[in-house]
Amino acid sequence: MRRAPRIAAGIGLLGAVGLATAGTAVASGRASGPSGSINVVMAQYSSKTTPYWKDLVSRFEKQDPQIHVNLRVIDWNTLLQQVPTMIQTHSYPDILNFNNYATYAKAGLLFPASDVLSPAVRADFIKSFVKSDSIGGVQYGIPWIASVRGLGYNKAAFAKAGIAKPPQTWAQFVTDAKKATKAGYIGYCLPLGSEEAQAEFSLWAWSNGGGWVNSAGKFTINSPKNIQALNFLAKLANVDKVTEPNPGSTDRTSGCWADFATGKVAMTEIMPLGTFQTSFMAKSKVNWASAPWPRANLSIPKFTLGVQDVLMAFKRTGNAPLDKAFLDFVYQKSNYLNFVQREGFLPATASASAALAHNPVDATGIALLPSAKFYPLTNPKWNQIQAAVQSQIGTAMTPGTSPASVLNSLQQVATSGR
Amino acid sequence: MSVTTASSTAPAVSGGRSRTTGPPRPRRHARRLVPLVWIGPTVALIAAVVVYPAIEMVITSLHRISSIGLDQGFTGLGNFRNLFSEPALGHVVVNTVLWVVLVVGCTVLLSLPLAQFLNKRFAGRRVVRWALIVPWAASLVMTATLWRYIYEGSYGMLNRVLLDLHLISAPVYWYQNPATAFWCLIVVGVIVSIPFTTYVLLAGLQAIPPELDDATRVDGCSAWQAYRFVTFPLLRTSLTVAIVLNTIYVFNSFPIIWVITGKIPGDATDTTITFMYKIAFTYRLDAGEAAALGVLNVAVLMALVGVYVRHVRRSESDAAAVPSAPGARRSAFAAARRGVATVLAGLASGLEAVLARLAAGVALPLRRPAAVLATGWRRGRAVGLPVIGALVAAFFLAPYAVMFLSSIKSNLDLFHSPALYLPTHPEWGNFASVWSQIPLASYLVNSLIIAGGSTLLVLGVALPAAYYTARHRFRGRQAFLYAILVTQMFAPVALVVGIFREVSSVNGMNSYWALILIDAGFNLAFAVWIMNGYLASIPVDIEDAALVDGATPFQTMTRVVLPLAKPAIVTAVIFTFIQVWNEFVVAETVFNNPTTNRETLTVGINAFVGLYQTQYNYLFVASLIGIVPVVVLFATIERYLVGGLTAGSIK
Repeated sequence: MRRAPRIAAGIGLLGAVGLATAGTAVASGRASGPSGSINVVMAQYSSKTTPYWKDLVSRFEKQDPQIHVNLRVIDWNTLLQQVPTMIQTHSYPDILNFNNYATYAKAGLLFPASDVLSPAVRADFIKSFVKSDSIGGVQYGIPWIASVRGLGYNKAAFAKAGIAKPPQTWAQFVTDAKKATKAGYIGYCLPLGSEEAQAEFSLWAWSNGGGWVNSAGKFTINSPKNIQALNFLAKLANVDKVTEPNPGSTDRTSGCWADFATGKVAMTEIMPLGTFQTSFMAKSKVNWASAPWPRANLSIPKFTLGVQDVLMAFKRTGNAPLDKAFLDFVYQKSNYLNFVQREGFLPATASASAALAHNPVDATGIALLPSAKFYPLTNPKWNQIQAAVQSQIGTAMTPGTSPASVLNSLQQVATSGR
Repeated sequence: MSVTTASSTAPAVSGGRSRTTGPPRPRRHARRLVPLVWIGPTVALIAAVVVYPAIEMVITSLHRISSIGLDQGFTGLGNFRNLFSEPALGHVVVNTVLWVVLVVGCTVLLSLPLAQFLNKRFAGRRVVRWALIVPWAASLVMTATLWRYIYEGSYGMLNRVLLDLHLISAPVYWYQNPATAFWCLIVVGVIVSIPFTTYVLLAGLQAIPPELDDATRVDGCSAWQAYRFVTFPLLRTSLTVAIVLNTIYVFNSFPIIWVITGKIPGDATDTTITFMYKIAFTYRLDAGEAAALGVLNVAVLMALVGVYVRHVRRSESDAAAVPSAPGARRSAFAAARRGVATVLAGLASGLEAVLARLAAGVALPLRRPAAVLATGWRRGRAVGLPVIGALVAAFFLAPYAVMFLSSIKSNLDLFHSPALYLPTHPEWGNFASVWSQIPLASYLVNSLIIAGGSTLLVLGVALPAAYYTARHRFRGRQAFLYAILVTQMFAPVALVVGIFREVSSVNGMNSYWALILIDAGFNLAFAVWIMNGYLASIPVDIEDAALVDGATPFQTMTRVVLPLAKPAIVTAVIFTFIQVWNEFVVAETVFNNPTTNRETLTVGINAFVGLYQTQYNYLFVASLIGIVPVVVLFATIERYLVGGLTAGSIK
């Protein structure tokens, strides 16, 4: 009888001190610092990212000594975990580099772009980006960098398999993949692992005339066209056997791109831009090229997948001018161009695009941008859908699993109240 | 344990030495406050660091949190309802049970003979012991990253070795294939759990007097009989400690599963801990539902802690140190705890029985050949033991050899298919250029400051508490010991939100002191328990003599007891240092400002995990450099370690 109360007393004591601490936490609230300071959280794209921002911030602080910038550069994996923590604890950064913005805008957390960017900078953004960064005509997302996807192919593999030119239709694609497989290659490396499954599936869904949402903006994840597309992929893997083993858990970078660079893969989804060139193909002996995505039939218009990351500015009274000073500095042509070139992405501004047009690798990507289709970034549910697609769609590749049921359960996520 | 017993067994130190004979009531109050002086700092630190985030977690579990993290108010048990309607939950629970039972079971089965072996004297034994340390000293995140690289399909080293041995004919996609993925994890789980377990058992073996072994020989027992009937029963206490502690560590194990298969679609390999993370950050983006699972996880672990406490208490009462309190049996809490304890104890003794049966079954038909072998063995022993030792060392070091060889490979070599044993052109420059690629020197200094600071703080705070609880029976003693042990059982992943809020509220973001306090708070439990157990085993007469000679209690502790307790202190130091050195989740959350180079090593080297590419070579170079300080520290004090490790249970 005595044992339990004593334990309870001990825990109670700890609890009491804990509550005292909790009281302090509430009392002192958000630690914001002096009015001339902003918190900036940037995503780490490569090991060059942190040095870039350190240098930029120190130059900015020299130019604007009254503004202090607290910079954090966080790798993507950690960022996806840290951002919700920041929101939950109300420690919003002033400026955040992320891959979606709509849910934050809908919750009323963001400044409109017009509050934190001067008109000249806003006018420079490529129009298609601005469109997918605006909700109800108000721009909240600030286009940061972009990338596009294409069908990468190994020229030597094509020659050996007797393939004259890259496939334009699904039927040609299957034939070519079979030929390449017969010639000893992985015919098509299908990266449906969690890293970027939503990109791979977008490409196949769109090339079949399907997609994430209908014209009214409602999710149509389990539409017949989408089911057909996922069935097509499952057939590639399990019936035609032209893919690598376990495509449902193969990531593009550690899986497909690594094998593409060592010459094992005939075709795979790639990014026809600098970052792919410098990080994967720099020392590779593979002679490769990129082609438009094959379509189910030629009546479906040519397209590419455009992926953009955004910056967003969280509302904090009185901080808009500080944000504006910093963001205008970031988008100064030389600063912005420097970042885009170092990381090997496509620029989201017209002036930087023009400046890079002479570079052959970038020019390929830039030329594709006008036909780019984007994820439904304006939909506040997209962040949940993207996460659910990444963690589940690959299971449709396991033999015996019905692709339709996987898409049905994803559609449920989209329509559920949560 | 009654109050009267408590005060009567603690006369000399508490109020008894006061010269003035004041009225009895205030003196009694003063006496009650004495324990607080000794254990107060521990209680305060734990309360400040652990209790608040724990409360935050419970509150979160009762609130609806939006997909981006906004708190939308109280929702009652809504999160628990959502959790129980997760279609994957049943599968995940089965996984968790399998994971814990298989990893702990295999670990113990393998550690028993290994400990026996390392207890023998042979040339090179110390080297084998050091080799065993490496998987323990390397951060789990890095070890897991290494294993994922080894398990890779087209460029993994495992496939290369198995192909060369003609054991497989085509590459196997070990961790991508749902059929093999879970087993891959179990292998890694076992390998990284063996060192700790082996050392626990080794310490247990060392506590067995060597004369006993001689006696059985004289009585004509075979070596097996001696082990089965003499050594094994005496090892029972250590074995139970190993099983219970491992159960807790393995249950809470996050990095292995997360790094190797966390990104595989579906939930084929998830345990409740990784599932919790997925619910929060990938699967559902629902921090509330994740917190609900976190609360349930802790509830299960508290039951396990109850078993551990009960076990230690039973060994205490076996030693007749504490009279049992029969009244406690009536409380529902105690009954529930006893229920779980019985199940667990049943499991443990079942495992023991299986072990014994298994060994007996193997031994019986082999008796005659064994006798022949034994004669040969006695002759070959001098050579045989070191050879076996070398094989053991090679096994545990092999993954790190892969790490080293990969660290000097070029990007192209790293992804060569099949894997290359040796780099085509060793890039030794990686070891030099890594220092300029990231501010590695700053990271090392930061990690040293934080690990060193936390270790000192833990020692300073835990020693008085451990000493006092070992020497005195006072009100709340068991509650204290139980409560601090509970703190060990929270998965940091579940507490991050609370820690973040707490640290930013006291302006401690990116400051050394905040992280030192937090790391110390989370590692107090182990230190208190280990030192408490060891100190209790030191005869009290020595101290009485010192007190009679006029030393104050504090002087007695510092001048008489501490020198005797060196093994326990060293043990606490090494454990705390390793834990803090490799800590990842908290450091990444509250100590993460690259502009001022405020990052620890484990966090900083993630710069090599880019959005599109993991620079394995640099990652491995930095990881190897990170192992060095720990191994050096370990090698310096390894010989003390073995004495102190299970003192807490053996006393």
